[in-house]
Amino acid sequence: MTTLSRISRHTLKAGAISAVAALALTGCSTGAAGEDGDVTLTLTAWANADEAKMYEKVLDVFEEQNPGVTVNFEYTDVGAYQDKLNTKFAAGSPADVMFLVGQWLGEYTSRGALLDLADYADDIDFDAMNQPLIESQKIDGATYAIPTGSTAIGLAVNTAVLDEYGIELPDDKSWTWDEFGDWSRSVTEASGGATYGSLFDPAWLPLLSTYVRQQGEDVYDKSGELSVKESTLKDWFDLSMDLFDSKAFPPAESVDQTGAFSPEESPLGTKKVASTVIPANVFPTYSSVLDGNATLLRLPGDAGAERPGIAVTPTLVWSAAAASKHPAEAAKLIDFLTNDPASFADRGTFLGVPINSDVAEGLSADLEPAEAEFVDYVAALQDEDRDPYYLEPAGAGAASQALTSIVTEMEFKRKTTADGATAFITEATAALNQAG
Amino acid sequence: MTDSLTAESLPARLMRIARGGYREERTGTPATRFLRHVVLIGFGLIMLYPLVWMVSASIKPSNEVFSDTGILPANLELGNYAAGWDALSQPFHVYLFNSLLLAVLNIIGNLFSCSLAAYAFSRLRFRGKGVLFAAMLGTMLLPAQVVLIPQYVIFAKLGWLNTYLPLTVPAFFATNAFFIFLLIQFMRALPMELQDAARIDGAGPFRTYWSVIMPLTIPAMATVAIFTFIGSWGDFFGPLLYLTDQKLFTVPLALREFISSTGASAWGPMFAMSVVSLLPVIAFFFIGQRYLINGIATTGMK
Amino acid sequence: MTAPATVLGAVAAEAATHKRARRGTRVRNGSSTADGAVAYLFLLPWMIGMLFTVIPFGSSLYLAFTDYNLLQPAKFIGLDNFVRLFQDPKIATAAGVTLSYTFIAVPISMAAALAVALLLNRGVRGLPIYRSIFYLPSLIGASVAVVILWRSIFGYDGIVNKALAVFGIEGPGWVTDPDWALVTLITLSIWGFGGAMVIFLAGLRQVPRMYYEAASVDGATGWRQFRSITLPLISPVIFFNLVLGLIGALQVFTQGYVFSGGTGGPADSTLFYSLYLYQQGFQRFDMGYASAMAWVMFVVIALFTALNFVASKRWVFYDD
Repeated sequence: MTTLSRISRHTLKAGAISAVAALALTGCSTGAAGEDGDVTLTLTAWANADEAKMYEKVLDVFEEQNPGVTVNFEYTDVGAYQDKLNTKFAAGSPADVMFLVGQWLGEYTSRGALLDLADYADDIDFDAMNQPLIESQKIDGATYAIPTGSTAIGLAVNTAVLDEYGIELPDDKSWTWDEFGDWSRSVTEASGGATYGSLFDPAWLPLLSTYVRQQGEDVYDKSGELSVKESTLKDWFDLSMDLFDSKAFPPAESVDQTGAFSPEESPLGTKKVASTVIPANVFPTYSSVLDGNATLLRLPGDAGAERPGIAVTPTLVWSAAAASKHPAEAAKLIDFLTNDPASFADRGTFLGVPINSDVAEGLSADLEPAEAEFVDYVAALQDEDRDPYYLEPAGAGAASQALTSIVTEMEFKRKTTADGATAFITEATAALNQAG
Repeated sequence: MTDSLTAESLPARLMRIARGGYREERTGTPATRFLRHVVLIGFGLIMLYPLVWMVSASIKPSNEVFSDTGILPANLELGNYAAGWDALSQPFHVYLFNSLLLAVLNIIGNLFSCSLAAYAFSRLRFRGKGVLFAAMLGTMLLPAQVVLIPQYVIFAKLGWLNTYLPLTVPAFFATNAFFIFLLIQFMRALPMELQDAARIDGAGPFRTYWSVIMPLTIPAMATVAIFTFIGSWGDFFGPLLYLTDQKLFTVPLALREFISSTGASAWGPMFAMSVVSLLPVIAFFFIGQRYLINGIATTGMK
Repeated sequence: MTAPATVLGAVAAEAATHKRARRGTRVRNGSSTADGAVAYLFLLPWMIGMLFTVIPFGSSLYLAFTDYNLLQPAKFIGLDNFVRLFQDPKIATAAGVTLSYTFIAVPISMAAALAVALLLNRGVRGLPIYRSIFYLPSLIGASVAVVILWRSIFGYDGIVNKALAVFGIEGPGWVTDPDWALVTLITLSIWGFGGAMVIFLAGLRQVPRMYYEAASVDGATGWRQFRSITLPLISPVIFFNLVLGLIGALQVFTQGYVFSGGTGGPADSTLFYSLYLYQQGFQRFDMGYASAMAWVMFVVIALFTALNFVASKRWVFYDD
């Protein structure tokens, strides 16, 4: 049994709901399914221009399989994606198929904007999918979301830079956050500031969740309440700000978050930093930018923690709009994206390990080294049977936006970490109340 | 038809005034004049530098845009233009065409409706003129945000969302009070004798409007047309609000998609497309600057 | 929906001299309703257009008291939107951003416009060329292309910081630092001073030369002449340029949106009031709240304009 199919068949904790990790970069969207008569489906995803071309290829395959169906692929960068989607919904022309991040799922389900895909069991082969994974995404018994694949977050490291400055790779199964700081600083010092040790966004929810879980808490608990302690938040902020101040990270002024990053122009790709936190499914893209001189490490802090931080989660989910004019075709599209090996030919494991074990099996023969590394990374984590994430409640998206603002203020010393922690609790609570 | 004060014919006088009769006398010593030029040239260069930089960046390779600080590129990359043209979901000429279509429709609409209204306000006498005129002036001071949402709702209910209708139909109903006002000021300066003469010749108001006043108003109409073009070409908010289908996007929206979807990875092509997007405006500016600047300065006429 | 600022200025100049011009074109013959029905025919498109302004004006006031998200019918909630508005910390932030932007960018722009206009008015060869050079930026300043350009120029690795480095100054993160982002947009606004400059130039040309000649005969110096002749005589132009410039700046949207990618960031430092209104109305589809915001803005602007008109009696000089 290959690693891939083993992951696909692996059962997650029954009854637990997993959160989806946000992809910082492009996502995949593939074509839409169609039937007789001229049907046009719109599929939205976030992507940069190169990834868009990849999606178009997958879409073409789909259109060939389903004559009479055209797929209109619309993409934008991840920052603007939610707003665009909202606008489309409100303007009465929602996308037929879209992918969503767990944080925003609640917004749509609470408004009844998504299609219950279980009604289209004729068009979607649910049996072939990893059952517990499907179950874990159900909300009130309805299937609004089908995971695009499995992934986990990890630290992508530029091994060429490490070799150049004689820095050793750390033991990623046992290192602590302090050791991570020291290791990053050593890179900065050894390179004389030409390359900084690392960089991450403290406001990124999966990363925050990792730290919070290591302290034995959850950001959002099982019933959708905000449950992280203020002191834990402050500790996380102190840790992160110290990394900026001690030059483990590049200066905050130089980090521009607006607009999409292609891996080539990212801080890791341009060798501005030696490592960065990514959702592991995009590791192959970074690896190719770095000419294969890259490796994937676990985040620090698991050893000696209350419980391990990272876990395997669905990457993203596919959903269809309840107001779609062609729900059957939309369902077919999602089926294609999930179960049809042909839809993976051009994109491989870009959206995560496929949740259909046969498809996963089929892919495993053609994996590139970096993809294989990604798959092994996920498989190892899966074998350790870690606590899954809980699905975020409605309003979590707005809370995350508030957190980004707060973190920026702390980075530029306009707020202390204590005030930042208090501010987040206040604003997140308000956001959840307003949405729920 | 001649003005009694000079032997110059009226149309000719109006055209001369429209072209801008600035008397070019110079004051000060040669030294101060030279200094003036130095200051003006220096300041002018600073003003234009960003645009020059943009053109220069558009022909540099993307990864050298910020590292190569000279105006003349160390390495030329003309392929940026081709790359940018195809970088988005539609080839760029689709967006150019869309913007052009909107601009032309808006120009026609504005010229048609605003001149009609301006003619009535400036040349005709009717009951309630004062009140309606004040109402028109009032709309100029109204912040757009106040009417924005209900207008959006109306268009949504009409099913006009994601079409060009909300962006063009209002122009045909004289919704731009500034242009009406501009035309009024211009028409007002035309002597009433013209109208009286036409009336004596048996022409009704429409004939007078069409054959007598309109031809003389051409400079102001040109001003309105050029301002409309520049405003419509650069309009970001309207298309942002009403257009969701990428095939319908206008140039400003396409540029914003550019920074959004390729972000930091394609500076060269992005600046190339920025240059392309500004060229029509700059072209219109050079062709029509007399009309623009002197249209603003119609106060020169008494 | 957008009107070029330069046309605003045109109107300003026009209105300023309106009093003087009106005398020359008074109609003497015919009754005051001679053209009656025909006039209304000419005005028909405009009147329909007015409906499209007046009706939304009224219904937005109604919406301000409702909870409306476009998909479901509006629900009357009384003053709740306004209560929420006055407790919303982001409203205070947005107001602060908008007011700082307006009251810094506009006076500086006006000052620059007047200074350059005065310089040009002294008479230079090639005046039309200089005029064009300074005027062009004001036409494209609010375009997406230029805002993106500005963002790049002021980026951490951009030419502004590189130029400062030549002098040994380490430039801040103009674009990423919440303390500096708005300054970047203010400089963009000032870059567009050319529209006001053209108006001032036209206004300066109106001042009859004989005043200056008479003053010179009396021995008045340049500065004295400026203070006693120029300033009073162009005060109507200054007034309207200033008022309309301020009102326009209070409604800025595109620059804020494109610069921050629609977020108002970094850390809400570019969250203009109209951007926040857009976010509430067209991203969250909380249209009742957005309408309430619009009305608060309208009332503030109306009060502000009225105050200005009252204040103008003290310093604006009309020569009739």
